[in-house]
Amino acid sequence: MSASPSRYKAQVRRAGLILVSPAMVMVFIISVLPLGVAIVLSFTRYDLFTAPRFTGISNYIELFSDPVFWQAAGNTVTFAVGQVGIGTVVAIAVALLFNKALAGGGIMRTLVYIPQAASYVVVALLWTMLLDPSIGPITHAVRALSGVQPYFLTDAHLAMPSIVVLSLWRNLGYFMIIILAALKAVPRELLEAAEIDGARPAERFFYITLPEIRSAVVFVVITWFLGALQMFTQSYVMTAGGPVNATKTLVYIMYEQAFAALNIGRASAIAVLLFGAVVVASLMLRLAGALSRRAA
Amino acid sequence: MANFDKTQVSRRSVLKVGAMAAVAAPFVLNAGRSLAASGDSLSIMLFGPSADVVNAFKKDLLPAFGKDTGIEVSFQQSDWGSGFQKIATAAASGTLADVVMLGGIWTAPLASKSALLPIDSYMAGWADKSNFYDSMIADGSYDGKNYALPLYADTRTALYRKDLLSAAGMGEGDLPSDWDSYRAAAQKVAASGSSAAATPVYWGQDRSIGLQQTYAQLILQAGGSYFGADGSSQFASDQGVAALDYLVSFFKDGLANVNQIYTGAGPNPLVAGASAANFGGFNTITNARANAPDAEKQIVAGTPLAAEKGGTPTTSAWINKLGISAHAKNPDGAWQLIQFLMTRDVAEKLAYLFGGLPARKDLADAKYLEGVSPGFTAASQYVVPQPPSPNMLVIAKEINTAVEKAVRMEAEPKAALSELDARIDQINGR
Repeated sequence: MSASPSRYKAQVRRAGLILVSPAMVMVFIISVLPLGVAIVLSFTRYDLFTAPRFTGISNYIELFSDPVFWQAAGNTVTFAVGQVGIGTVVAIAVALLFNKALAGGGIMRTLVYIPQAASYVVVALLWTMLLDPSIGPITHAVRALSGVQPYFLTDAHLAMPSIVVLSLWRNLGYFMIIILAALKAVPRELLEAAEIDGARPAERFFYITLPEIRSAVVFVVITWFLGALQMFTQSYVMTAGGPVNATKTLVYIMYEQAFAALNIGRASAIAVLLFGAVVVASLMLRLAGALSRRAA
Repeated sequence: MANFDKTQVSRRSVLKVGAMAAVAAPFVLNAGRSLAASGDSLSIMLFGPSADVVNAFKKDLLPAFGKDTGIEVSFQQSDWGSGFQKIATAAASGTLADVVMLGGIWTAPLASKSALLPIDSYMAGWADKSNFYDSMIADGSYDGKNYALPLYADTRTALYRKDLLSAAGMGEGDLPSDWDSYRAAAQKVAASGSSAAATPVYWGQDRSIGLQQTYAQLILQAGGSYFGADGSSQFASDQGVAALDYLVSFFKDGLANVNQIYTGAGPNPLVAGASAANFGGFNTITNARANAPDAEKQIVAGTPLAAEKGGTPTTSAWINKLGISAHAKNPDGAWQLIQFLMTRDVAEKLAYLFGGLPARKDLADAKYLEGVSPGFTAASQYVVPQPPSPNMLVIAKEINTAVEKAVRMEAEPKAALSELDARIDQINGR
């Protein structure tokens, strides 16, 4: 006995829903439900031990009047903009280099990618040693070259830039590979035609290559920026948020509020604000990408 | 279609098995938990134990305790870094080990949440109590009740490098006893041209709350305290400001360096000979033994300082303790285990293995302290307990940041402390 076409389609649709439902349930449990719980908890005073008590928007008011919150927000944006701004340019430059037929290119690509395989904790510990004021080889080299003793992680003006540099080193390989893949897909005939027409290398890059890899660059900027807004491990391991809060980020103070102060309500309010910032940043970056596509 | 039907049947079977497993799992897991929580078993959780400590517990101490009492003890461990987070979440979910190790300032934050069991009734009949320093016993109390007993102590005192003092023309008989003589000694070291001339004093700056720990001693020496009688923060009191002014003066006058921050790896500045003086504890000896054994014999412990000449020496100690979970299924057994771990021989072994000083008065002559400067243990008599605040973990970091701002000249001491008072009062809901 065979089913009618419409019944078969309904069966296929039902089967599809059944098949995706476990994944949807998991997404609901892992992402949607915690977000909802965090939003609810952000309007409460909750210390893990006693039942949450509704306090309205007091957590948000207290956060907005706390200078450390604003300092952490500023540090977070500085880190994200610094790392992604510099990192995207460097990733494109390195990808352009590897896009040419270089001797040992494969080995160099692997070397640039290797840090991505290490966990942030390992990378942070490694760089803590490299930048140590007494035994760090980078410190020794800078001191030998400049005659000045640098304190990369304990000087309030150098700590965040140092964390930006190590984060860039760690992430560069992954984003470079994405851009390199996009570069490989740029039609050679376009570049050759432009060259025959007398276009200089810079003109070929800005008028042909860059527009062709725009989607990849937008993807890199969005994903890298959104990840950077959630920076925690580097500060936690390398500087403990110091010196004088100079490397405290929003996620760092969220952790402190949750697990040192046991103020889950306040920590949830920070999480909700960070989520809002991530959504707004994501939409703005996507809008910027769409506008640049339309302009092209 | 026949195949499709077969697949449906097969899927149903898989779902049935999965559902049965899901239903059965809690029973199976619960059975295990019930067994573990039975009256004849206990669990203990330690933080940051070395391999030697783990071995001692697993192969020696816990089997010996089990043999004596018939109680089997399971061993849990974690790192210090995430220790409070783990203990708080475990306590909140009712899964905390029966006996738990507590960091120096954890008692009040946990006791105020009813996560720990008061042990006064047990202590009433505990004959060994008189063998412990009273101040260290008091360090485990909160709101008039005792919650924890001292396992070992990190008692701070004034430490010096004999060789570097000697290079500055000072002998062991010239060790400072008050703030002025301490400062004068630092100035002599600065003029000596030795390896410590650039930074005569290392004030304990680290990536944790080292500055707060130093300032805690200074404010006590000045006769101040963290909180007033009404519970309000009073760091900006005359004594608090005097203590911070004194500390800042070393940085202003080039006798200390804000960037000399110990990262926890390798020899600390005193052991390395980069500084000649420090408010440190016995872990300096442990650090020397691990990183620069020759430096150990150069380290001498003086008496804790007094603010004025002829004043009372005062110091503080960071005392790691053992407490009982409020959810312990077998609190009597948990108390038996703590008593066992506090006995003289075991306490000596543990203080040695953890690299601290004994909390027992009758262990001042412990074998592992032979050859060590007697000032380390002598300082224990001058210990003032930590203020038992439920928000101490947060407050300690706030103090550290305020002191850091002052020594980095980002704020005047009085202004930094006034701002600190406001923040602490806000944290305490005042």
